[in-house]
Amino acid sequence: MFKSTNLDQFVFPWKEDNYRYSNDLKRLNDDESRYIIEITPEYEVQVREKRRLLDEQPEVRYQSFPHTMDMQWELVELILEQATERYPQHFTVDKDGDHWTFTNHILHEVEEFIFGDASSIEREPLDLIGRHFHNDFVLMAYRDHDLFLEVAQVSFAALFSANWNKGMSFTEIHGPVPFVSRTGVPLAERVIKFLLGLEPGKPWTRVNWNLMADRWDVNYETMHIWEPQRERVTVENAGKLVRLRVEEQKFYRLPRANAILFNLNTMFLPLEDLKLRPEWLIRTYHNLSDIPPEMAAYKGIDVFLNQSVEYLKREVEKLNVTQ
Amino acid sequence: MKGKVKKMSLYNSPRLYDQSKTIVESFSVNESKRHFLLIADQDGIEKVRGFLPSLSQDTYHFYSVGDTECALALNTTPISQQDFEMKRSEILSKQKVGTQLYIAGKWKFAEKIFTEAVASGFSEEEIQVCIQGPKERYTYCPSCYTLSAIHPEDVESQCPKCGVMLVISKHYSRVRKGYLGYPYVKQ
Repeated sequence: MFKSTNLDQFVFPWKEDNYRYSNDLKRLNDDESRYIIEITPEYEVQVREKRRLLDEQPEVRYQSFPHTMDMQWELVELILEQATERYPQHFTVDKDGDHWTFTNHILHEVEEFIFGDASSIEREPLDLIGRHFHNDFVLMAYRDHDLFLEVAQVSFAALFSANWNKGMSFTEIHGPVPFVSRTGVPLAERVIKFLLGLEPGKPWTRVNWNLMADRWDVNYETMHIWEPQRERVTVENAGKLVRLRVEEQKFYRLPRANAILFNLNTMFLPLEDLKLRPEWLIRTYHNLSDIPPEMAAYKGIDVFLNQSVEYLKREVEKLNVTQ
Repeated sequence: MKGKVKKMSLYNSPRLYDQSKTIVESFSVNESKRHFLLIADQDGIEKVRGFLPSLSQDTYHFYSVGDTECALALNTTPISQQDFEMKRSEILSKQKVGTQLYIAGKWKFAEKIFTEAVASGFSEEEIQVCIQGPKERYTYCPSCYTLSAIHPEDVESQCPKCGVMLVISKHYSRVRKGYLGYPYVKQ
């Protein structure tokens, strides 16, 4: 599929040499980090891959309820406002009243629509504009004192399915995972409370990580395909087959819809590329060596973790030899 | 007191499923309520018979569905299955706010009443269900989006549509109406 080639744009997930699970939530500043949209050297590959997945597997990749149109328009407005502000050379929007013309200058594509009028476009608003950006977009609406997944355009998320998770509350989505801190404190209620307290215009972020073995697409729908493939990993091929998968999550409050946007920026880096940043190689080795077994099991990496750690150890030893 | 407010069923409305917190072995009195509505088919009638003495006669009404003979006790309405089907919605929606609902009977019978009760404004805390006979349970195949019936004890099954094997998880979806099956290939 693709990997991050501009390492300055790759969000390395660990701050310490020993593994520590934490919520890791932090407020975004009023700088570049607050933007939803990030254009990388892989933009075209990412977007074309996303579109392929959406076209080939529409039920898997895009789900929404009919009552979400207003919410989707609000998100479209946010996305386009940020994209044109951050990258005016790549994206422009001309407005003639409600008649909008969005131009993607990278792909040389134009979308014309009447803002707020779903009948003016063939796809749903988010499905249309979302296809111009590689992000996964998930909208959770505040309802009955909880957050419920009502719209999702998801191409790169792991162990997640827009089809299956549609309509679930935040707690229900995380039902099968041990959503607790390392000391066993349940986190779901705390996180929901935090999300419900988000203010418009003040986004937050956190980073989620995982390892992937060989296959890129690791969702529920294809579990019978990718699970056995994990056993192909050996110490010798781990550098190529195993990728560090980092999901940068950003949370925005949509005030009109009273919903929360989960914006996901997924990045991949093969283990063999870690040596391009020796400090990352060393830190990854120490963290993966320190993963609790139950965490490795729930992340689905227990089958190939030892091989990956051994590969990294050998690479670190090579570093020490050459230094 | 105002009657219950009819509301549309939303995607996140409670559903009756095998692990629903509303399912009980025996009914118990909800001390915070002053009005009680009991509905049973002929399979569930014994459950109600054993419970009625716990309630003051002027606080409850009991619909004995499929019962064409004399009333079991005061404040009991025997009603044919056909008549109940026609009047079910009206019976539930005219209940006062704060009514506790008790349902006893086979799964399909209970499920229809539960669904209508939720649409009529009953919360899960206001419903208790005693199921007579097997509970229905379904698994959802993510490979082909098919819902298929499974036995309560099943830990795995084979999707009848695409043939993939499924490990039945505990992850339930009200929208998909079943438990997620994790697909795997039998070696």
